[in-house]
Amino acid sequence: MIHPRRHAVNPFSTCWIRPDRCSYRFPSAGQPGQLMESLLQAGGGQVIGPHGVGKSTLLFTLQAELKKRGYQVARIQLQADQRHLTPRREAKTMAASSWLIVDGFEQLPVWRRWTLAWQCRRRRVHLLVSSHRCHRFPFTWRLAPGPELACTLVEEFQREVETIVTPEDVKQLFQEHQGNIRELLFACYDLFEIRSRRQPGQQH
Amino acid sequence: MDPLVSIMLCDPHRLYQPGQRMRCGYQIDAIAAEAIQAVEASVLWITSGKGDEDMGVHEFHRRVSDDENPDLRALHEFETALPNSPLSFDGTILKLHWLVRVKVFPEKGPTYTQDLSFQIGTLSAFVEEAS
Repeated sequence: MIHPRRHAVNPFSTCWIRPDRCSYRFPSAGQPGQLMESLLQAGGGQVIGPHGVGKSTLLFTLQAELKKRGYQVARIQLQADQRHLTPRREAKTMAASSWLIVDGFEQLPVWRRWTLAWQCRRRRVHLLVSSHRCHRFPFTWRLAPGPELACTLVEEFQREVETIVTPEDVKQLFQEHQGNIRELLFACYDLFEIRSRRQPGQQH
Repeated sequence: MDPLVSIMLCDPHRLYQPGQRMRCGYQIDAIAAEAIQAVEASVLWITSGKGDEDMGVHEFHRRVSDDENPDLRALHEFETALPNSPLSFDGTILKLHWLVRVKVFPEKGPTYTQDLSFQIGTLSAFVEEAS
């Protein structure tokens, strides 16, 4: 099947790098299974890490995996300053043993976080959250991608096009953006545009 | 196996001016007539680039398999007057693409989508010249 967005030539366009359009790349092959098993065993947990390290992407990947395993899953995306949203309403309507995923858990005030967790426990709904800070959860997965992972990711995005952004560029950008993969991919977009627009025969 | 969708435009260069009439045809192969539930054809624009994506549908047709249209695979043509805006644009941060999109809905299995891009206006060339 031809991808509906094939016209977006730059492999770092939003339509390719959005958290819901790509899968999370784990540093090692065994990690996805290990994470899933630990999460199921704990019955919920948290994914923590700084801005742009792939928390949302990982949550989308886990959401797909949970659905594949037959679980009912609901997802709530909290943006900055969305402190009045009440995901616990969602928890009230969910069936036991289903999963509620809250992306941006730290946006909620303390008492809302507490009531949501309590509501989920009461209704036996599994709660999985992402946050910049560590909260009290039975299971924690910390994200801290390194430059090697960033190189692999950039290489994979350029699989179907000419390699314009090199591993040396990625390593430099990784340092510049202090490990923020989202910002690094935005910088790759710019680099790709600048270099691919040059006249043929010019050096990159 | 995926169905084969051929989309044809009256202008082989696929370059149109704002307000111009565009004639388009599409044909479906590699799938049995009775295996197709419906076919949708649309003329739309879509943005891509560094920011949020946007889209707008200019023209839309849906044909379903019934007594009047027992075989949706046969060549089907339609004509539309293209709008005055937005114009096709190939900027650094934002790109605007015009497309003819044909979606085939089989009785079973996933929807199949085929796009054919075309250009409205020469805004990109104008911007490049100006810069």
